[in-house]
Amino acid sequence: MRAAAAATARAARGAGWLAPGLALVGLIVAYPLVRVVEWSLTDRTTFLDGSFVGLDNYRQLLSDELFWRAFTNNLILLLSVPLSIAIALVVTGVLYRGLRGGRLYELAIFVPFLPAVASIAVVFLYVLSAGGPLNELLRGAGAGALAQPWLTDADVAIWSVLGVVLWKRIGFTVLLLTARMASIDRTLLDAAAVDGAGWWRTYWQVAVPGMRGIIAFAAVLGFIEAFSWTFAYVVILTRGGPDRATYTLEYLLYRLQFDEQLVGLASAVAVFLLVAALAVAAYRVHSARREALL
Amino acid sequence: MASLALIGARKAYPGGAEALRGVDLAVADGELMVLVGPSGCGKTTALRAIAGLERLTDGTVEIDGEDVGALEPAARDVAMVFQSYALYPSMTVARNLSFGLRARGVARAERDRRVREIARLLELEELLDRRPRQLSGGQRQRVAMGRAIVREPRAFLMDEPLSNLDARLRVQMRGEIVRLQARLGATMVYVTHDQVEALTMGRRVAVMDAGRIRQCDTPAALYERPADTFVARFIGSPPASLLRGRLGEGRDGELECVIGGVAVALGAGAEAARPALRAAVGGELVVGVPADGFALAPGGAAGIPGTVALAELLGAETLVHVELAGAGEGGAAATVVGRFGRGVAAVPGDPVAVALVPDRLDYFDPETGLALDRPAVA
Amino acid sequence: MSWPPDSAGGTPEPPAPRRRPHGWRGALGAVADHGFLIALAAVCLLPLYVMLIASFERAADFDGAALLPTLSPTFENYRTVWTELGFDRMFVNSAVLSLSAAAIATALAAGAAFGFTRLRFAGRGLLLAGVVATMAIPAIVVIVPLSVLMTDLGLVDRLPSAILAEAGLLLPFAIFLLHTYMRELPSELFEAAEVDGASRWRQFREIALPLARPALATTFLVSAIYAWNDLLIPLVLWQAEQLTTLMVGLALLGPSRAGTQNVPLLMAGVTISILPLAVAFAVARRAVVRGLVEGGER
Ligand SMILES: Nc1ncnc2c1ncn2[C@@H]1O[C@H](COP(=O)(O)OP(=O)(O)O)[C@@H](O)[C@H]1O
Ligand SMILES: [Mg+2]
Repeated sequence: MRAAAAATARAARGAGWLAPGLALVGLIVAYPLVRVVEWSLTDRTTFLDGSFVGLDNYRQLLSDELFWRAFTNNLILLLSVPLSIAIALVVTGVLYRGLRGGRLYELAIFVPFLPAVASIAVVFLYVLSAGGPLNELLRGAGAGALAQPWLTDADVAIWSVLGVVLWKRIGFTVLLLTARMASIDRTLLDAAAVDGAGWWRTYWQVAVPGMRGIIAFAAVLGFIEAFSWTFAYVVILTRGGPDRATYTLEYLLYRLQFDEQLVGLASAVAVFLLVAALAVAAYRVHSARREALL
Repeated sequence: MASLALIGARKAYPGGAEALRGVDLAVADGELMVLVGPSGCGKTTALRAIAGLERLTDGTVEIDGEDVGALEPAARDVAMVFQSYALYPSMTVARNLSFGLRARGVARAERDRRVREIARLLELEELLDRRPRQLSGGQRQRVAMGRAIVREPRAFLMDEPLSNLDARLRVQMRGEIVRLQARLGATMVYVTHDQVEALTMGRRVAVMDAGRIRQCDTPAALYERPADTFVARFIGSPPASLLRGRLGEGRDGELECVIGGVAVALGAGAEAARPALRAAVGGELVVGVPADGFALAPGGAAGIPGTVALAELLGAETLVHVELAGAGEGGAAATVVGRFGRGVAAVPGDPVAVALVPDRLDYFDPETGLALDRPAVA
Repeated sequence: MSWPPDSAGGTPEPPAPRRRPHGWRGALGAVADHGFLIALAAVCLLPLYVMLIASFERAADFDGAALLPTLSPTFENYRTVWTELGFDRMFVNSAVLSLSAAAIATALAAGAAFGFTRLRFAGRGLLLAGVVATMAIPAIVVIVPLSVLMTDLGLVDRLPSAILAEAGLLLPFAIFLLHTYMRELPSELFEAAEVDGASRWRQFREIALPLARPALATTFLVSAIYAWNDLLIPLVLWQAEQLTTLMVGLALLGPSRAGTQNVPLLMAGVTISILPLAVAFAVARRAVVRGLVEGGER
């Protein structure tokens, strides 16, 4: 009896500290999460509450060519994950092979991560424009044949977006890997070197396996970016165009909600994105548990 | 000031470790009680239970006869000096000292007066504006003490407050703490793992092992009449040596003890002082030999024959280790360590005869380890 | 989070030079290494370089691309975007959003992190797991109900809408960051305070907060950067023209004004939007890098 009362009292005191923060998270994240699932089952619009339509919204999406194109584009942008990790692994290997000024290179490569996606996207709007610096550079280098309308050709545009995403990601991935590399026992590398293994063999067989955890982390972050944070790229670089060739799920959601007022349908797209986010959430809770942070 | 008591205190930490296994400890108003025991025996846990930082699994904590088990630490009004000192790193010495007073809403003028007074008492006046990391170990220790004293609590709990100081400072601070305690008339539980510190500071010393108090007594009594083999081996430097013997009766009916094949007459006084011995006749027992409990004679003289194993010259005195064949458990060899003057003739490898001083011996039950002539300690 | 604590100090020390083979093979290898890194660094820096260059070009003379610095640089573009295109107001709006969202998130997170570290109560582990899980929820997933909610509350186009939304979205991350720091503070300090008779509130204010100052600074800084950089929330919740932030301004002006004549202006605007970040990075590189790395995906 007394113990139960004491436990309740302790819980109540805990609530005092947590309540303001949890209330805000509840209002801004938790409540909308519930709502978005609920609304995805209705034909709600901005102006009408709508009624329950079961899985109609999902059915409609799955039979919509634009939805699949958007989804495919998200998958294309997901290529930035293996690409950035592969490049970062090589960069880290070169940096650790030992050369002067490694820190400066690292800094230069990290710089793109700092500015907002919106700022970067506007810069690339200029860089990739038909008469812009990239094409100028190509022509100047005698590779004028490669010059093209990077953002306005329906076949090329999404790959250009991928290039920008990749450009912004590499520095961050290098940062993650070099940070991990710094904590790898150097005597292991030295031992391999003494055994006569060349640097790259040593690096791939001794250092890289030790970075498996951080590579997984980088992959998770890249995954969530490819499925949740491409909106700003698309809305500025291409506005989904040309001819809706560069729609992603986030941009589709945005258009459905704010241009077509189709709240129910937009919510259904959000639920798709939520599934991706939940997979990441499960991973994070799991790894936090493993590291005894919870 | 107030009296303190732990009654039947038990504490099991979640995860299994049973740190207190039934502790009874009564500290009178104004008394300095020293709690001594090896690391991990539960001393800190006992203090934390009194302070209210841990809840007992069973048993009670009393302050001035009142059960305070349900009170928060703040309401118990005791002060604690932590082993790490736990000075607040972001506050100056002055603010560290006044923290408890501010927390209790003491008016500013009164606060300042008390902080100044304590600073003078502990010679901290020069340091009031410094932060903890700008202080030496000894200064930190004094601030931690000051923080406890300034509150004028009902009792002081000190957890190995000197263990982080160098040897000389430690000796000096021992004396200061004892004087301070007497001057304040403070009720104090002083925890240490160092038996020398315990013996020099305490009027009464509670010896603790594995979550139990083995003996609570004056330093002299601990040394002269250890309640069990643990206390005998823990107190004294060097501590008593333990031998195996068989108790019998000599031809004249006097008690004698056979150790290492040699019968040692215990003398007429032994039985008078330790009536329980008579009942143990015919049985095996453990004989405690304190460092001043035997004399050395050249090999072949009367006594238990042995071999000098080691002679350590420690300035004014020499510690001599003598190996006695057949004096240990199951007829194995055992070593006695004695303290002698620097002139003692003992060369490792030499045969010697050990002549025990019957009056200085203690006797323990080999099964329980308890002293034969004492009631079992709860 | 799987970000390893052992490397939480930010960027690692520069790698110690390894011995490489002597002679021409070693020299060749070094040249190849430098060549590779220089090429990559150039790719990384070039877009920002052309941005800076273009921002100093005269708009009237600009012909679509500038690869070399102009001989007659002008600040006119900065003056124009600042005063005529409303970047002054956008800058203030971005600052208000960024600083107040960061302040709210940091303050509430400090209390919650203290509660999580210093109090044992039923459901604590579950709540904490919930917080970590919520970190992974991106704004896009909740933006639909959030915009409806803010409309219902009558907050759209009023200051609190985007500020509260931004703070709420940053909060789980802020709690997590502060929690991992506060749990490392020695518990004896708080126990000593408890024995001294200090209330929780006093322990929080006088012990936890001063000790957590570095973590509070990191949390505030990184939250501010995220909020400064965010586009979606202010785009949806601050639609009124006088509430346009820099990012929203760029998103609206960029595609519609990407014509040749406007490029120098736009680039000046972008430069302005990046400037505070560059300053923050220069002043507190370690804190920024550490926070960004721990915040990861935002
Ligand atoms: N918080 C705790 N959780 C679990 N076990 C503990 C905890 N604190 C102490 N113990 C265990 O309880 C026993 C007594 O510890 P303690 O009271 O600190 O001993 P002492 O202060 O005498 O060295 C030890 O075995 C220790 O490992
Ligand atoms: Mg201890």
